[in-house]
Amino acid sequence: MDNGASSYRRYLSGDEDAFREIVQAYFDSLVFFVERYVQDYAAAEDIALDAFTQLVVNKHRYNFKVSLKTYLFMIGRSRALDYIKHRGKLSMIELSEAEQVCATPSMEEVLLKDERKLAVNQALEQLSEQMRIAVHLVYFEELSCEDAARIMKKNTKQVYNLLYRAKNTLRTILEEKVS
Amino acid sequence: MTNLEERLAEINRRSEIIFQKRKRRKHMMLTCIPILLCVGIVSAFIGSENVRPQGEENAWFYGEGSSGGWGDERPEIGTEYIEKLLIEISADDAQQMEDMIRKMIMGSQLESSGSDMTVDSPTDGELRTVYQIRIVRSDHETVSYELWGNLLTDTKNEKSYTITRQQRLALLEALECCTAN
Repeated sequence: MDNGASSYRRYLSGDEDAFREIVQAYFDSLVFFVERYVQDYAAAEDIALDAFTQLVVNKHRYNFKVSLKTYLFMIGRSRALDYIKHRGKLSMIELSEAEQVCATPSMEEVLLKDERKLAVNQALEQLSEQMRIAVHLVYFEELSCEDAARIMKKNTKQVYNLLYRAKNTLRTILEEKVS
Repeated sequence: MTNLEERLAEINRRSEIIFQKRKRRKHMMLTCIPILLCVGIVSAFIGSENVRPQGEENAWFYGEGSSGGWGDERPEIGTEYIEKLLIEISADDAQQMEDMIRKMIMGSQLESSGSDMTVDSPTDGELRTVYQIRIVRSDHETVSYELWGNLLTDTKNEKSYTITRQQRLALLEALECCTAN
């Protein structure tokens, strides 16, 4: 599994369907990942669209040294941080709109059909942002620690440390929940 | 936006916008660079035409081949700006002006050397005018003097004389009358 690199190679050699495959495979997970940063589904979707647009307009910027998924997530993270810097993380929402949003199944709920993953996901919200992102990349996206480190612009050791601390914190949270 | 086709269409739309922008930028570069180059060359050419070399300027001021005035040994004047003014007097006014200057020189004190010259020091940035007075006698012989502050210099023998402020004002007034005539 080369996480999209071969599809992108096919796209570069003129196969338009390959791009469709890439979008189909990675769009939702990219939106889900970006939403962890921006806490806004619409903004996350917009950022994901931008990331895919970069694949089309800057065709030769991707060097195939990392998987395409990692590359997409790197673009997504960078755009998400820009978004947070320029618009602020918090946005006001009307109470009636909030109720409506709560009533519809969220992106996480759609993607996390597994009940156990959903419970962990809810506990994740209580972790710091860095821990949350590390857990998301390694356990939800099933990326390697090396790829997660590349995306987070950290070294592998730092990612291991974040995961270790996150696991301890999550264990405490989930034990409290069960008891 | 849950439909894959919608997502692909949006990505294509955004890509198209970026491609259009790039195309426009490239077109603008191709159009503007030759124009800018032409403007640059023309302005550089005009600039070189307007800048007169220092040597040429001095020749204009002191007269071709003349050794009059302070020449290259003119004392440093610091940050002041000098306006050079050439006044040529001939016909009826010539004799009168020469007499006036001679009278001033006779009554003034001869300065010993260039380094001892005491010129009213102007304030920084003040425009100081150096008057070169060229008198053409009736027999076509020419004598010339320079007036710089309160120093009057006979350019023939390169001797400088200190004149009083009143004398300077009187001399300038007379020069003004001559040029008005």
